[in-house]
Amino acid sequence: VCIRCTSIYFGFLAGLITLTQPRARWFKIAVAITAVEWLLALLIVDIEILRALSGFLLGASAAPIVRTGMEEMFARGRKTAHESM
Amino acid sequence: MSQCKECGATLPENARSCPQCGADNARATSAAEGPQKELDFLKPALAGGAALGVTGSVIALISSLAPILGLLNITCCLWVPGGGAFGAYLLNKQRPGTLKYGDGAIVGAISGVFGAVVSTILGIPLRLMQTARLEQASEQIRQSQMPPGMKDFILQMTAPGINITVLLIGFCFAAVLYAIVATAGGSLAVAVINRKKIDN
Repeated sequence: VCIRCTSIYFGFLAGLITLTQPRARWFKIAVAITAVEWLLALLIVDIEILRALSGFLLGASAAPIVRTGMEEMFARGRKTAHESM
Repeated sequence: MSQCKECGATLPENARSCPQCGADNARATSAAEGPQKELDFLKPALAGGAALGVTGSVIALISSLAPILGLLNITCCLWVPGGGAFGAYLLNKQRPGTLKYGDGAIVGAISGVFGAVVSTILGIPLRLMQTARLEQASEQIRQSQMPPGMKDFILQMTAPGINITVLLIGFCFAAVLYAIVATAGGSLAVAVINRKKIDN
């Protein structure tokens, strides 16, 4: 696992703990930053700290979105189960 | 102005739930827009799952035929969240711009489980094609130092040929893992493709 992926996992964990509100715009910005960093690493220069930072931002911004999605999914499941009883 | 579908109360802008009855905002609709169409999760999820399973199997096949192309693994299994995201993309076509993260999560979860079914089925001929490679791996495991119980389990999993127990264990493992990761992919896809302001 490369430092970018490791940073995504740690960023995701940090985002789960610290961020409460999902922010789609932050996630889109983090995706753009990671894409630019990936291209930079592929074509010009590969800097580990940039890999780590962009991965961390991506993971942290994704965490509240994924958590909200799962909460909404389970809430809907509970509601459906309640209605069918 | 939006109205609560449950009690008809007028909702504040961007409210997630009705202050009158507490109903989820997802069920609330704008009076001007009329009632929202119910989402059909199954078809987009099946398409997302098929894409997930087929892409993963093709990459595994290419990697086994030409080990140098094992470099495809640098995609970090992105086809799994990609399958969930593809399902969310197709779901978005039913009601453009109105999906919630939970809708993406649901279609992603179903895509993940269906993707595990597809990749397990496609994995059978792939496993039969890799008999020599599996025999080589089994031999290396036999010579390695590891606890006997673990060694037996790994030898059973890497044994050449088709074993129903191995298939079932592999399917259960893939179904849980793919469902979780594709759920994340579906939710994140909603964040990217939803042009309306989705967050409060």
